[in-house]
Amino acid sequence: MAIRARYGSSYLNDPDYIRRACRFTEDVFFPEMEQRGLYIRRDDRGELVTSHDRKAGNVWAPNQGFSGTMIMELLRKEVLARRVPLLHETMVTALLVRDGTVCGVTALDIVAGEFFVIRAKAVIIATGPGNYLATRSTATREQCGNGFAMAYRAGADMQDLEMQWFHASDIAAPKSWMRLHLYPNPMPVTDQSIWLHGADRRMFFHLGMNPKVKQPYYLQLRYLYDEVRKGNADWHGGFYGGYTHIEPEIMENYSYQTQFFKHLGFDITKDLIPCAITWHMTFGGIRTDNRTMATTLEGLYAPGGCGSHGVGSITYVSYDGTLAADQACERARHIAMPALPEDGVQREQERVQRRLQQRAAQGLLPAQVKKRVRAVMTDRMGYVKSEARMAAALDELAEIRDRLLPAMGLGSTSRNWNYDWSEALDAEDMLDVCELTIRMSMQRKESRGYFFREDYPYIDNRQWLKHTVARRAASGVEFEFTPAAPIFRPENEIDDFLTAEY
Amino acid sequence: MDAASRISARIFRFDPASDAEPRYEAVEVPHQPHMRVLDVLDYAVEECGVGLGYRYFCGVKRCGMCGVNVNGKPVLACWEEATPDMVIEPLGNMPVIRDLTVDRSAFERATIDLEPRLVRKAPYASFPEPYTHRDVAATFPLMNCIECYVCSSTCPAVSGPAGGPRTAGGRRDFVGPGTLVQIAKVALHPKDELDRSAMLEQASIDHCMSCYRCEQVCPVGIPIVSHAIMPLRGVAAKGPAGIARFPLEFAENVRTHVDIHSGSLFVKAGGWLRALASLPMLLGMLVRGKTRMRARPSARARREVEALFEAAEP
Amino acid sequence: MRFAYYPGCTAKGSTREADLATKWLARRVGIDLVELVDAGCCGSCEIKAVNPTLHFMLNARILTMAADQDLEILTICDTCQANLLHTSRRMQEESDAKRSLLERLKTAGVAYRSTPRVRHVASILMDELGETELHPYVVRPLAGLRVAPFACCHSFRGPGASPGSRELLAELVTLSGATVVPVRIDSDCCGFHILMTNETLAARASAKFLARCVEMQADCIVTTSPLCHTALDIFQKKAEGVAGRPFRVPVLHLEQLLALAFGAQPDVIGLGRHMVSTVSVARHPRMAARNTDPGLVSYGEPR
Repeated sequence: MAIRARYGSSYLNDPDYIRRACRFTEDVFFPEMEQRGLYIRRDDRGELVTSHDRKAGNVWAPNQGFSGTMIMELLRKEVLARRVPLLHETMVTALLVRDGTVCGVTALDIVAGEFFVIRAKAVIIATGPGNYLATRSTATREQCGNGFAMAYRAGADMQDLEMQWFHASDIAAPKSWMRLHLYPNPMPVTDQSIWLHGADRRMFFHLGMNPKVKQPYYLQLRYLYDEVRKGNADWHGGFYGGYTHIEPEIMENYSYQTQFFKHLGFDITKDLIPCAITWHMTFGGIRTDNRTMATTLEGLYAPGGCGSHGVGSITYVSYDGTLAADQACERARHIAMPALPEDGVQREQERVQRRLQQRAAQGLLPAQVKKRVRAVMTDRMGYVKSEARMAAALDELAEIRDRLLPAMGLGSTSRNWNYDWSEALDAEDMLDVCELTIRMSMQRKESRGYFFREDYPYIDNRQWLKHTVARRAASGVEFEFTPAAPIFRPENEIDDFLTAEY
Repeated sequence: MDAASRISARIFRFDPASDAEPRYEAVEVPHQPHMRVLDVLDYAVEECGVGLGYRYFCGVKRCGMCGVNVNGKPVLACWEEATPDMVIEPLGNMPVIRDLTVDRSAFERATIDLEPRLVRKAPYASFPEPYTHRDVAATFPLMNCIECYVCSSTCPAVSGPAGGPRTAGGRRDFVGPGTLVQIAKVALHPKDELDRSAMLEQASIDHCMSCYRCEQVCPVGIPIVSHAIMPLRGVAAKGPAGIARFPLEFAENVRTHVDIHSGSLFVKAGGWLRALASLPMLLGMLVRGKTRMRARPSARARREVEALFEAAEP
Repeated sequence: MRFAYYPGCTAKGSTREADLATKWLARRVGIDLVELVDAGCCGSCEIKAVNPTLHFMLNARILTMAADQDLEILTICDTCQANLLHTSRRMQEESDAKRSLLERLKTAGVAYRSTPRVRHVASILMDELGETELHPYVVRPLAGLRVAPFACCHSFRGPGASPGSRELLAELVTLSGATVVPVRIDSDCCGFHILMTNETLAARASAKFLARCVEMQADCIVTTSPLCHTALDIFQKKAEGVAGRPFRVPVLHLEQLLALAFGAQPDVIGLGRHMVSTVSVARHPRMAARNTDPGLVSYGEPR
């Protein structure tokens, strides 16, 4: 637990939440999923396959790199087979709030091009912690900050959005494979893990260098920063991941990843794989009570990574989801269907409808505007932050909002599967979330975990064992700071970020 | 291809809501290292400003959504390497919604209707269940299937865009290999105890032509025919309606005759009425000496084959 | 050259012309065929659905019959070829599956000792003789004959496939002097294996290919499998029925096409036995050309 608090969240996590989530993992998740048919990898003797350190207990279902897909597939089939009504390819565009209480959502079915309202006694938002907000990102195509944007616009508190993770070792090319992660974790049944090499091809990082660290991602970034400063790597490439030191049979037998490298013609016993960093998950999100998943908006629950209680594993988000479902059901049993806000629906409908317009002669498609937003974030809001760069980012985003957004338009105004239309709404959401993230980053005047400011390159446990909370206000953004709840306190009050023990 | 090369792609464009007919839009894209077809599509939108309708989510062969036809070959756009001259079209056997986006719902619906969940009868005790990797040998090769339905899009036994409307008597058109892999994942799981024979009969599994086209195109390399469809055909053969019993009849025929005696097989499989309906063809064959059988196999051969049948029993 | 000859069930019954042509061809190029008597059925695509173990065992028995005579196997049907090849691969593994098969074979009285090589006659001709040695046999080049090769699905995909088989077929057609018309696309299938269970669907599948043969003006089709031949020739009328149009495309076995090019008379190689008349091929201008090779003898029907 102490290790998780220290290395996993830099003391911003709530160990009590972690304890509960771990209990759920053992007591509920694994038995229920296995009962559903999830195959947790065994060997020929029937032993569970894990990495050497059994206590850390990485298991795979059925292959390393593919477990999440299998788990999601089983759950999805369960939902579909029970005929739970599902609206496919339907984008929720706004949360409807009346008197501080959530009363439903508005949605756009892009297959039919139809806008509609869903009334609800409770809303569970589960849009995840990852957002495609920079040119390279691990979030999927449609994760464009919509969940955060909706919650923020509806008046919910947001927390710790600045605690933005980066992956150090995702494949550099092709661009469409930017989410392909070269995991730093040990290969099954071994303690061997990937090495990072600089442009000079010398190894500069591997997990074994800090054996206590189970989640080495932020360490990778610090070592990479060193290499970048020495001119031996670049954030966008010029460094490598390598498996050349690991026995070939180990790579063959278990890893789902090796097929990708083979497909590109790499021989991983000899070749190093070019890598680059990617914008990964946000530790924070919509502010949640981690005992109930409730947000500051009554009737709105935010389980999983889109909440603010930290990112965990798929078992943790299952815990969250179970909690939120129980809470939402309980609420629904005891209240009447709330009324809709008087003009909320109409305003939102107008906003959405406004985006169904043909692009102007000099205008851009929404996908092109989104690309511009991501470019700004890549240039100005990378791993290495500073006041000057963040201010510049705000300016550049403001320019996009003022000049490009009004001229943005669609290739066609057909209502038939008009994906561009949903992308136009994405562009708005992205601008909202990026701006908020930058402002929250500017508030935190220290570095911590994944959050690195060159102008404040130290960990300040005296002032900053706090959560940054932001909410929408008439004046713009209102900030608040709440103390973190560490059961395990850090040793030092101030630490040099780049050399600190965690 | 070197960095200076360019890729020419012609991309299928069609919005049934507003276009009278499809057209092809040409784009020129500078080649990037390791470029995939998906990168070309992204470039067409982000740089060339083409308002293209296409699906993808993950870009790394997990979501199964980016299936397209490239120069007539069904592939995943994220997996397939971009080549200098490409014609990019929607997958077959599915109605086009718009441009490269197709309607998968017939296949998805068939998958859900055929009970794709593990059905236990014996109660589940606790985690971890006592079994070994060998115990899941039958279903393990199927686990990496991502339901992209690229296989079903090119299967000659699937009835085209109409897909799976039910025919008379509740029997569906052939549901396609993609759906059958989903069913096999659970049907071949050591803990599944549902009798799926009737469902598989209704799924018209007996329409599989054993052509291995699905195995050929599967981007994940699932051995679809060998490890999903063949075992399921064995299950369906014992079904209550007797629709899919042909493999059993074939086996019986070999057991009796050593060589295949096609006359008796034809009648057994299709019935006398069917044979009568084929009379012109049969007469034509008779006249051309196509019905004359060669010498019957020896008694020894029959004994040898019988011994094999017995020794092969599970 | 001597080979154990495994014609398969169909070539002994409804497509005997394939057997006739093969024997003629073998004699012509000096291949000795030792037919495997009572070898039985390879199981087609049916027995593997009922009992995969039985499928391998039936094929292993056939392999043994050849191995016991120290002979490699020559096949003329791609499904038999695929089943035998797949089995031969399985029997050469070091695996529990293989060991278990050996046990059961022993119980059944089959002493499996070694695995003979298994090849389709097309591969054998190209491997053992090759273009240079085959070329002189072409006394009647079928110049101007437009041939649509139909490679059997099992020859180029599935666990018993032989890499390069489609290219090989095209090469042999070219060798005969004919012109290759590339009608077949990868998603075509003749539908043979569902002829008995869903004739209409099979006919529809064949019809797609047959229609394209007509569009692309192929004079005939050539097959390497008597099963594909059955679907495309014997059932061509059914395909015409579902398509609502005539096709009338004659279908030749590869062995017949080569035999014609090597000088055989049409009746000797069973060209009169087809459901779709092959007269248009037999009457092709090149067929009438006098052959002046004194060494060329017309072979009568084998006993």
